[in-house]
Amino acid sequence: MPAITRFLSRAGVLVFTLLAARAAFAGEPGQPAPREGDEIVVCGQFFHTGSKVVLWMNPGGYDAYRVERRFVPLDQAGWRASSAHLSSPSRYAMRKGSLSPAQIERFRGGGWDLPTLQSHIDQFVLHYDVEGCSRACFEALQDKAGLSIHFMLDLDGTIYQTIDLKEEAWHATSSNDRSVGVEIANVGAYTNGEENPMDTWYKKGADGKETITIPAKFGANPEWTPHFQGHPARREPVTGEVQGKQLRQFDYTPQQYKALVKLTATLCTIFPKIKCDYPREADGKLMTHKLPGPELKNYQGVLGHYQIQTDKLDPGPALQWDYIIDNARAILKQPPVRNVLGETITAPPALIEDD
Amino acid sequence: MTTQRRIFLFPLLLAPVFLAGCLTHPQGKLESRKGDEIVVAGKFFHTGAKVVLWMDPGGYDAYRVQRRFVPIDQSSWEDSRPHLDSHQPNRYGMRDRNLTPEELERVRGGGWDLPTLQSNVDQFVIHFDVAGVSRTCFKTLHDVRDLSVHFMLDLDGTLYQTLDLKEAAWHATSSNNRSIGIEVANMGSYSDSEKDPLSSWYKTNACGHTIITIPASAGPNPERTRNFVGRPVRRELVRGEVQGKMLHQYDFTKQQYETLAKLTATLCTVFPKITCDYPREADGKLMTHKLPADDLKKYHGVMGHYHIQTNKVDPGPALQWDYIIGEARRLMKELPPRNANGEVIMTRPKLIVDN
Repeated sequence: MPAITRFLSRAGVLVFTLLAARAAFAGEPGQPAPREGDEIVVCGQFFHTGSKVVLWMNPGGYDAYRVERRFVPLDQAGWRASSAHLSSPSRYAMRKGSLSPAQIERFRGGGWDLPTLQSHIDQFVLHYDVEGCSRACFEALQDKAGLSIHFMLDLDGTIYQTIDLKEEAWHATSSNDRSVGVEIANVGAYTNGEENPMDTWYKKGADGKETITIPAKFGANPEWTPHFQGHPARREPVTGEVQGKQLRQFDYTPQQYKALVKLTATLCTIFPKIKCDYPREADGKLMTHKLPGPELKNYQGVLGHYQIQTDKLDPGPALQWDYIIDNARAILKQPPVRNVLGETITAPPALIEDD
Repeated sequence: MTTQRRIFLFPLLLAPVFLAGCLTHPQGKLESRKGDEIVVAGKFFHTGAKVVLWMDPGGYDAYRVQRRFVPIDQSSWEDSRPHLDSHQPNRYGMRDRNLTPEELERVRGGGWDLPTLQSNVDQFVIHFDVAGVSRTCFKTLHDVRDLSVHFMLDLDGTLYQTLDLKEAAWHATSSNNRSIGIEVANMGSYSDSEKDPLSSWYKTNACGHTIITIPASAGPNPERTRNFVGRPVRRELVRGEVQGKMLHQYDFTKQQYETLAKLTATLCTVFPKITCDYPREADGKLMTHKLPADDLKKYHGVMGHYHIQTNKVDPGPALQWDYIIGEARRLMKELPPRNANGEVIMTRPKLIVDN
C-alpha cells in the first residue's frame, strides 16, 4: 500500500473513531447538550440565526404559552383574577388554513411537522411595537390585549421568541394563519401635530446624537445588554408617506437592522414560500399602502403590517426595506431585487446611518 | 483502489463537514437533536434513551389549555371548562417553595435558571399510570383530571416529557413543589378481593410468554414503536405488600426498565439534591409504606407515590428498585449505597427476567 494511501486510511479511521466517540459522549445520561444562543424554534427543532436569541423557555425570556399575566402583582396573575381583564387564557391558536380533518387531528395539541408547516407559511410580517421596548411590548400583548407575536426585536438587537412558529400568533388579522410576525421596538410614526411620545423617548445629547431613553416605569434596565445606549440609525426623524398620510418616525437602531437581516434570511431559508422581497408598485418601488384584496391573497414574502390592514401604519416610513431585503438576499446568495428589475447593483446597500 | 481502501477513505470525506459544523452556523441551519434530550429550565440534557418532547410532533403538551382528545370543536378552554375537575385552564403550577419575593418575581412566567431550580428540586417520584399506555394517561390527566406529570414512560420504553422540569406538575400532592414525577405505563396492582382489568391486558401466547394486548379502546396504534408487543419482564403476577396490603401486579417491560434507569441517572446528575437511592427501613430494605411526616420532609431521593400518600399504592410491588438504583448508579459511576455502619447495603443486581 503506498504511504499516502496508508496515511489517509489511518486518518479516516481516526476521524471515524472521533465521530463515534463524540456521539457516544453526547448521549451520556445527564450531559448537557449546549446551544449557541442564536437558535429559533420551528416545530420543536432548532435553527441558527447568527444573532442573539432569547427563547420563551430561557431565563429572561417571554413565554406566550402561559395563562398568567406576566407583570401584574403575582397574586393577581392567575386566571381567576385575569379572566376579568382578558377574554381567553390562550393568546394564540392553531394554524388551520386549508388543512384536511385528518391533518387537523394530527397537528392539534402542537403536532406540526416541518414539511407541512413549510407548505403553510408564506408571509413574514414586520411591525413596530409602539411600546418602545420588548418588555413593554410583551406586557401590552400578554397582560392587556390578549394577543401574541412570534418574535420581538429589542432596541439592542436581541431577538425574543415567545412561541414556536407552528402556532398562529395573533398580530395581523387575516394573515395570522399563514404568517410569522415580529414586533420591532420603536415608539411609532405620527402625523404632524399629532400627540406623540417621541420627545420623552429621544433626547439629543451634547454631541447632537439622539439617545433613546427608556422611561423609568419599565423598570431598571429592561434591555438584555447591560447599560445599552440605543441610538436611531438616523439623527433626525424620518418623514414619509404611509396609507397616503405624511408621517414622522425615528429610525430603528443599527443593532435592530443587523438582527432583522439575519432573522429575515433565516426565515426565508426555512420557509421557501417566503420570498425575500417586499410588496412593490409596478415601477419596483415600495408599496406604501394596503395591498388590494386579491394581491394580498397571492402575496408571498416579507411585508409590513400596513400592507395588510388600512388602519395600520407600522412599521412606518423609517424602515430601510432595501437594506433588509438586499442584505438578507446576499446571505441567501440571491442578487439584489433591482437587478432583476433591470438595474445593476454589485453589492447590497449599506445602512443609511448618521455618524 | 480496492473497495476496502475506499471504505477507509469515506470517513475522511466527512471530516470537513464535521469540522464545519463545529465552527460556523449559517442562517437557517438546522441544529439537529439526538432525540434523547430532556428539557430543564430551557436547557437540553442527554439521557441516552428515546425522548419525545411536548414540542415534538407526536408529543404530549401539558402547557395547552385545550383538551387533546375530545372532538376538536369541543376542545377549547371555554367548552372544556365544565368538564375539567378543577375548572381552571392550567394543569400545572409554579414551584414557589422557599423562594424570596425577589426570586418569585424572577422565576414567574418561566424565568427559572438552572442553579435556583437545582436548589429547589430534591425528589423523583415514580407512579404507575393505571391507564396502560401513555396516550391514555395523558388523556386522563389533561382532558379529565386537570393534572399533569413531567414524564410518561410508555410500554416500548419511549419517554414523553410534557412540561419543562421547572414547572410544578400536579402528581403527588405535598411533594409537587419539590419533585419531578413520572407515570410508568402499567395497569396497576390490586388485592386478591378486588376486581382488576389485568386479564384483558395480559395474555399468554403460543410460546407461553405473557404478552401485553392493548385494548382497541386505547386508540389506534398508541405506541411509538411500530408493531411493538410488550412483555412484562416476569411471566407471572408479582405479589408483595404495599401500605400493609398484599397486592398482585404484572411487572414492567424490559424497555421501561432500561429507560427508567437512564432517566434516573440523568435526573440524579442534573439535580445533585436527588440522592440516587430509595427510602429504606433501618435494615436497608425498601420501605413499602408512606414515610412518617418528618422523614418525608427530610427525604431527598428517588421514591414511589406510596411513600408520599397513604391512599396510594403505586408504583406497586412489582418494581425492581434495586435494578433501577443499581443501574443508575453504575451509569453515574457512583458507588453502591452504604448503611450507617459503612457496609454496602446493595450490590448491583441484574434485572430479574423470566418472560
